[in-house]
Amino acid sequence: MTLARAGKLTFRRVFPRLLRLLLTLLAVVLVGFYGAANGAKRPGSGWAFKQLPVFVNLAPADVRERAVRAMRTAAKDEGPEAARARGELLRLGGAALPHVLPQLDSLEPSARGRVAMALGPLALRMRVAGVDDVASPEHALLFFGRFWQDRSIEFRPTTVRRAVERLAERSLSLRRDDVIHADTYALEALVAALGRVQSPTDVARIVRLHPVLMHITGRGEALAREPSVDEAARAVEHWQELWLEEGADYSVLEGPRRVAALVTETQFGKWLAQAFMWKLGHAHDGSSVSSRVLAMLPSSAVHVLCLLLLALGIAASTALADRSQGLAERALARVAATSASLVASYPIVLTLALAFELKSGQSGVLSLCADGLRHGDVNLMMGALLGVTLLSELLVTLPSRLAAAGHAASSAERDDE
Amino acid sequence: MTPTSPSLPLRLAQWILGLWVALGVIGGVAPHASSLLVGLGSDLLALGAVLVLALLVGIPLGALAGSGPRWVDVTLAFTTDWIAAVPVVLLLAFLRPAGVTAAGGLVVLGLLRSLEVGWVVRSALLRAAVVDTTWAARSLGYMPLSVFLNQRLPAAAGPALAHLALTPVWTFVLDSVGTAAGLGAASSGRSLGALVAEPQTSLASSAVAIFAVVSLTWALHRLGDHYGLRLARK
Repeated sequence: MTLARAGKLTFRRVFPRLLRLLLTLLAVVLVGFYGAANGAKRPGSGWAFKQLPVFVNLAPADVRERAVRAMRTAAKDEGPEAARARGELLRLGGAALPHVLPQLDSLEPSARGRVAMALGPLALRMRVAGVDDVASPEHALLFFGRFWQDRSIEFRPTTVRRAVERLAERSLSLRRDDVIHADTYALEALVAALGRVQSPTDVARIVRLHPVLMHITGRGEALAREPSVDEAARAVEHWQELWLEEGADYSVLEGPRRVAALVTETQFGKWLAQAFMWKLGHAHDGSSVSSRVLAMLPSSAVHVLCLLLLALGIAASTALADRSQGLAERALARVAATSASLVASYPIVLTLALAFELKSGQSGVLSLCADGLRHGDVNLMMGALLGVTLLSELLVTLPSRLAAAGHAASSAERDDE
Repeated sequence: MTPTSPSLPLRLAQWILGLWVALGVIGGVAPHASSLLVGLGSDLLALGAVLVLALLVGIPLGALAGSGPRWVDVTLAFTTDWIAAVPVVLLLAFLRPAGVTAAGGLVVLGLLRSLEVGWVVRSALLRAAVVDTTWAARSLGYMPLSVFLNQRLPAAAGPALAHLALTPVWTFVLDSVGTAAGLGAASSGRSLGALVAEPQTSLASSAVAIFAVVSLTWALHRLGDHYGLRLARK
């Protein structure tokens, strides 16, 4: 007999249980996320990624695709669609230039002029042109032709990364201008350079990079003159959120990155990224999901435990109705039989605990989960669901499996005898 | 007590079940029936569907898991672990946007109940496995069908029937909690559980609905105890 003795922890015994726990967690997360994503479809849910596919994105759109599409639409005559496309070109900014400017020649002359005019405000934002340079289609066309001849070499990831690193080290107007010239093409390097904020040195770096990010994106709020570590960390989180939401709009997806985008450019991928970066992310009201779930987990555990004990107490008390001998044995037998029923009926026990939390107004992780689902708050719902899974594992699944292992071990011993 | 003269509780249980079926059918077919009658009809339909599925799927599944190939037991254990991690109300709310019809919803409910019943049967069979006769058969290297049918299956019948008898309360709780949480009723928006959870329902109607569900559960338990166990012993 090669079975381990009862109670002894061996790899052979622990590994399958860990694997099962992981598989359970995966199944719960996948089904839960499907429900959460569907719940977030309703208007006002605040879920920023609802336009993405839920689990697999077979056609992730990157800056190249968006820029070319916007250029072709902006090349058309006046109309709301063309106006929208011009706005899109401005939003995509410098990141779109390597894909738009080389293709200008493929358009007819008048369309070329319209696209060049649409890019005019971008040239001003990048501080590479004066107002007169982009005042008419002819001037704008001439300007962008020269600009690309002179500066296309600067639109390379290593060049931009070096410029950002230099700016992060020390803020000089020349270094700042180098990054501003690259516009949104430098966004990825800028967000990566923000890093973690833990010390005054980190705060100083954020103070140097933050205004450039504000200038390029036209978003964000100015930092205080001497920001605290917390304020700087909040600013970093804001930019990281922006990159998570719109990063693919400013980067080219090719090679391994394109393969990864099949999963990362989905609602599930974005939620996972948020969960890892910010400990399950934030709820709609801005509160931290992990701290809310952890704070409510003990109260839900008490609710569930009370219900389980109540059920077992009732089961034991039914032995009193039977007037035969051996009250203790009968009570024990009924508790044993009810325990199996309780393990099987655990979801309904959870449902009753949810009912108790709803009725009594005592918040718990179960009511938090229902709240998240009702309001389409994906982060809150998923965080609470993970809490519920943890609760189930600790209160029911693990004890029942340990009991089963003990039973198997005693059977094995009996086999040996 | 003799089989020809049923005891008073048994006769009362028969009456309760008969009354439920009659009122449920009226509630299901009458065009302007009261919400209580409609709820009875809706619950009767859900109960029928769930019980049929639980009997047809749950008991064979549990029997296989408790005495058949090990992989069936492992699969059932994993599925139960997985289902146990999520409150049923939330699980149904997750699946509802997939466009599950009312009939599909009842099938899902029935399958969930089947898993529970399967687990109860499996546990009861494993407990019965320590009985000497079964061990004796096993120690000879085989599992005679007669030992299984005469010793182990009747031992599982009691817990399984007791668990099945709780089905009316199970659907009622799911419907009422789902409605109260704003996630939608599990079986139907017209069920007794949904009726009780709605704020405009009077206290009297709620009390009648709860009494109806509890009395049906008691009746099913009593009938299962009498007929089910007798059948299993035969």
